[in-house]
Amino acid sequence: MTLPFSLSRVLAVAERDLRRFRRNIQLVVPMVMMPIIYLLILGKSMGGDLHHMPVAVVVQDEGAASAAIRKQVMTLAATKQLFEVRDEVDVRTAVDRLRQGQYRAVIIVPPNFSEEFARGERAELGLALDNTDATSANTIEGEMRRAIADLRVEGRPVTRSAVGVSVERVDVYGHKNYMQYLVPGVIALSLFFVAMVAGGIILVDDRARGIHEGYFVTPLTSMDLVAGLTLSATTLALMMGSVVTLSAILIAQLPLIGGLKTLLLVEFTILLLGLGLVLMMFTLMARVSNPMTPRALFGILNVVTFFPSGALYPTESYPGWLQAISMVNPMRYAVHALRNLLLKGVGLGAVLPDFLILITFATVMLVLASTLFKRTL
Amino acid sequence: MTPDAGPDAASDAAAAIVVEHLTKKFGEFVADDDLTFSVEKGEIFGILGPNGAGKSTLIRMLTTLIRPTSGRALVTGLDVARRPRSVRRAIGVIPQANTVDSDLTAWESLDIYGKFYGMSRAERRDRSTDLLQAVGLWEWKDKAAGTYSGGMRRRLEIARGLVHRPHVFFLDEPTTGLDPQSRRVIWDLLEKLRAEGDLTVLICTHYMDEADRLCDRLAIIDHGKIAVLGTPRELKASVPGQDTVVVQFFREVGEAMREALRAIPDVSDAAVEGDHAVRMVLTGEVVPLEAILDATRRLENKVKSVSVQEPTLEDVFLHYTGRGLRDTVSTEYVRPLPPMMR
Repeated sequence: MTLPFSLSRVLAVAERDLRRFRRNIQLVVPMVMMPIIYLLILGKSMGGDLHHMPVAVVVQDEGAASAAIRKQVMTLAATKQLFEVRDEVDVRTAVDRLRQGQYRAVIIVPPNFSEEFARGERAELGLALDNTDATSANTIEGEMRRAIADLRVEGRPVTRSAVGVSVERVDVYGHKNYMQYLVPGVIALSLFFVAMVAGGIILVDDRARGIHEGYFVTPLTSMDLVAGLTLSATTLALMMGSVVTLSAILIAQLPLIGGLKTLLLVEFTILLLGLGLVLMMFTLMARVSNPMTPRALFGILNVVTFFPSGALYPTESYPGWLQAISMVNPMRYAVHALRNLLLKGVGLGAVLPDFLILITFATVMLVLASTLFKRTL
Repeated sequence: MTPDAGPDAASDAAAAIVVEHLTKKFGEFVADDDLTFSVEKGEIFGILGPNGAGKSTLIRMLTTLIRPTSGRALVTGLDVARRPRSVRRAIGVIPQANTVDSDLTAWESLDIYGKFYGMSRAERRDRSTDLLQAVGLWEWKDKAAGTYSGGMRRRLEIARGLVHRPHVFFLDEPTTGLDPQSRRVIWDLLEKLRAEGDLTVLICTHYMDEADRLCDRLAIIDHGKIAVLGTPRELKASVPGQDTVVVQFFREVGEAMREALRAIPDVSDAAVEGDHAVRMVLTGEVVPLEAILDATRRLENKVKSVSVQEPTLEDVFLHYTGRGLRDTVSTEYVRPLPPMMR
């Protein structure tokens, strides 16, 4: 009887594989880098303290108590860098702006607040919250309740037992769950996958298979090539993005607040992000000829674009260096726009800044990709 | 569309390809070294050389894939470095690497390439039909090229390279690794194209039979230099004393016969082949029949047959480069070979 294996044969197979890795050390590096990058980016993009959340204060009362409330809010802004406070005159305007994504919360000190407080009645403080982002809404509510507990009016502490202030939380968007919060990120993620496959892997594979060499002896210019490849990959991104959007809306049972207009703006966001990511991939892969390279970079690119995008946790929690990555990350602006569109039903005006940044990003990448793309072998 | 008004060299209007002092260096390595030659319109011109001789680099320069380091090359009168876009319109190319798109059918491949050249729908349809029939892929036109054999892929590439009716057709080792049937189809096609007369072909190969059969003229290149250039007949005639004679005897022959024949003044070398034959290398043009018969009588044998073998291109190559063209050299009668060098 002969054994189904022999040690020398097993070792020979193993030796061949190990030699291969040694010759392709550039493929081994990402394997080590990947978990470390995960640790850094995931660790810092999730669960951090929130800072600099835009908050409006509407003070409709002239008394001492309302002055104390405002002072307390300003203290939170100054000591914990929790808020970026703006004063608003009119509640309706302030809440409208919150609905357009300008504020995370509006703190309303109603008329007669100080008077009621002085009379020893229960004075109600209004807190309108953008609850599409549960993390920031809960943080703001918690911080406000704690601040009120420490409130001092003209030197006298307002204890919890005393008749004092109650915070009335108003969720501007009714009930929202985390799944719905995730939908914008999932849409952006689907576009990343399309860009990675169509813009990265297939591009380098075609180059390695000689398809491009075949192109280069025809009258095709590099502009023809970059534009043609972009058109196909972006078309694919638009189709895949739409399928994922509709599926995610159904699965998360997300009501389409803005109707058809919102859907069109969502499609436009998908187009812009798809375009930007595809061109980014062309730029990164412009000179790459080893088909393993895009596959090895897949994971790292995914981590550095998806997690610092605000898809899972508010961007306000990121430390400075992560903010910097996030600022040049097109996914951040797409997620922001998609969240405003799908969860708040805002109009074009509210997402226009995001669109402009996405257009700028795509333009810069187009220039880089066209410059780096080699027309000759 | 382009500012390409006229050709770059009016004096060479008759030549399809003009190469002048063309050189390509990769760092220190000189792939092509000061090449000068021209190819007439309607000619099939062969570039013969071993792997690493600089054939592919030359084709890549002529087809605008890489830029020459110095010198210049004109294709249909257009400078390949200065007017690459116009050159690309005029040429068809079969690169050495397989560039067939496995995911597309033959029909789709030809149609898409036709679009690259701005051909109309009707033109593309007619041309694709003609070409696919000519290369014997008509029945397979709607199958993905990934299912084709190596020979079919090559034939598809040739059809694709001709879709826009190029003036000059470049083929880099078009039949390397192909089965005999595919090779013959490709040769027949190239001969048919030559008969039609309006296509110039530059073909790189390391197959002697292919060069001998197809080429009007050929250049042997080695280490990036042209060793010799001429018609196959001229090249073979230029090799002195390389005719060989094989004599078959009735009775067995051995060392005595070999020595007797080797002693003939016009014979430079002799070797026993099998039990009944001796192969001789001649120094002159005339077969020394008398001397051979004398030696035969002396050793009490009789001649069954005498065959004269003319030099092949293989011999030509050996003569001019001092080494074998293929990796295996079986001819034992030729002078010892230096070790193969890259």
